[in-house]
Amino acid sequence: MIVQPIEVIEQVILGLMIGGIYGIIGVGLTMIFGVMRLSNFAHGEFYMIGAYIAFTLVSVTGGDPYIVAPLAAIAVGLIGILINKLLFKPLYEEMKEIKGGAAFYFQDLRFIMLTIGLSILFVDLALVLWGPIPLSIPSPLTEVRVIIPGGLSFSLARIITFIVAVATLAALYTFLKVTKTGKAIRATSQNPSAAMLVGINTYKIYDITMFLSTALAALAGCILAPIYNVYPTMGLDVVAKAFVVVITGGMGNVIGSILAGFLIGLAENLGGLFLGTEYKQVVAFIIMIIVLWLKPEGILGGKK
Amino acid sequence: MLKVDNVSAAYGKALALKEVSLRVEKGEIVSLIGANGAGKTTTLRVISGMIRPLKGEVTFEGRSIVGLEPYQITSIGIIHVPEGRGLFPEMTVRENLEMGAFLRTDKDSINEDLEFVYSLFPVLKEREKQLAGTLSGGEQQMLAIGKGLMGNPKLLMLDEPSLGLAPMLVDKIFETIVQINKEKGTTILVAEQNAYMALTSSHRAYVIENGVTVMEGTGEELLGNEHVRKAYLGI
Ligand SMILES: Nc1ncnc2c1ncn2[C@@H]1O[C@H](COP(=O)(O)OP(=O)(O)O)[C@@H](O)[C@H]1O
Ligand SMILES: [Mg+2]
Repeated sequence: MIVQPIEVIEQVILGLMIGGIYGIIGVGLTMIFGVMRLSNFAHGEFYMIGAYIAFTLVSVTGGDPYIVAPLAAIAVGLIGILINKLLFKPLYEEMKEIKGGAAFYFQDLRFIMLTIGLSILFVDLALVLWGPIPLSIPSPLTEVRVIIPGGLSFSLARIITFIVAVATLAALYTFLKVTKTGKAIRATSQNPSAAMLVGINTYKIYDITMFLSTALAALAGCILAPIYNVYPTMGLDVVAKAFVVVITGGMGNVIGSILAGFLIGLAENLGGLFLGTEYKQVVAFIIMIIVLWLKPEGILGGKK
Repeated sequence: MLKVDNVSAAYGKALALKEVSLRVEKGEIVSLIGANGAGKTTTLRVISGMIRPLKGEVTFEGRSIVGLEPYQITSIGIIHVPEGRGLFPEMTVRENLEMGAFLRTDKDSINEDLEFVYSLFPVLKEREKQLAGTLSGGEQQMLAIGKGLMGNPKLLMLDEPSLGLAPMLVDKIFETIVQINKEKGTTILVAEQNAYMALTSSHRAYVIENGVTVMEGTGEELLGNEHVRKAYLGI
């Protein structure tokens, strides 16, 4: 099999496009890990619910999925806050008493089982509400092809997806870097007890982090929905990859996850091209293993 | 100003404080001396709200502060510079100092305090753009104290400011503590294993042993006390 240069270029572009989505999903997961010190195994379900809410909003209002996406993301973000307040907060409070504010919640079996349980619950809920059959959300934008010089063409939907992903990541980065709330989030992630002692209400920071994390996952689900199908277990298919992105980038590191998202998107598509599509799914794990072998703390591990 | 009355506290089931009582008056430097594991850190954690006491009362300016969250206690003017220095390692020196003023909105006096911190520790100004995690131990301790001052404390609590520092730096840190107290009138509570430095720099002091405050006196009184000399000064 001879690979044409144009095919390589095509796969690089497609890889960067999907990489942006991996970045968005991974960034949310890594923020939960960095700030709240917990592994959210239900992260994929927020992505799934985002897509279903977009589907429902589109069917009810007749709007375009790209227009309703922000609404769906905000709705899911609010669900995230609710879960934090109802389920996680009592556990933080109890553990704070024992450890004096420096707990590592991700080692706690109750948090692990709680998020796994949530994941199962949400998949079942989606089955009951929307049924098992994969749905598609039509958008006229998937039909419009944009031809770029050299003879390649991509659907407008994919191009919009990429632009939204990059713009979202840039906005998130700026938010964390320059705003007071963003700095408080970074401070909490770097040293939670010191954050409390400068006057940061860390419970509020946890709420904000849950909102951002789940809303980002939902946004990814929404903007991918017109390209792929929507089905109850779609979250389970992405959560493993999201963890691969988080670990490869360095646990808790936002920039690391963005880089790892693009790296894995690229590697998958090029791997699919050179090795055959049957190897595409395993490429992400190979990248993770290589990175961990060379740098056990991940690409930007230890930095936040 | 601050009154701690018969406080006990535990980590899970392990009792760390049995009976701690102390008071700090406005304008004083008070030190809490004791061996490793005696309960100095836990006492400061109870005051700053990081741990809730099992029993006892903590009042600040006449008002009970037991049950308040740490951010609320910070907002009433008690600033705790914790063990391990409490810095944000991936932020610059300048950003750490700004975070110290997190709850403040009075831009002008924040800038004045920043200038004051830089005048106490000129090295922090030189390293303004450096990440806190890359500073030396002594510089980190200076930054920790500076960050605490940026909160405009009524009561500044320092946990083992001398820990891990070379003797010359220990002298410098305690001189600065006295200078802050004199120039700004800041009330200071220091938890310290280095009894000699603490006692010579404080107005009054408490000795804590196995979670119990067993002795109280002026710095001079305790420096002359038989038990203190034997157990803590090695004389
Ligand atoms: N985070 C913690 N978890 C459990 N036990 C602790 C913790 N911190 C301190 N302790 C225990 O509480 C007691 C008092 O410790 P501490 O207040 O740190 O003493 P000091 O600061 O005087 O060295 C010790 O027995 C110590 O082992
Ligand atoms: Mg201590």
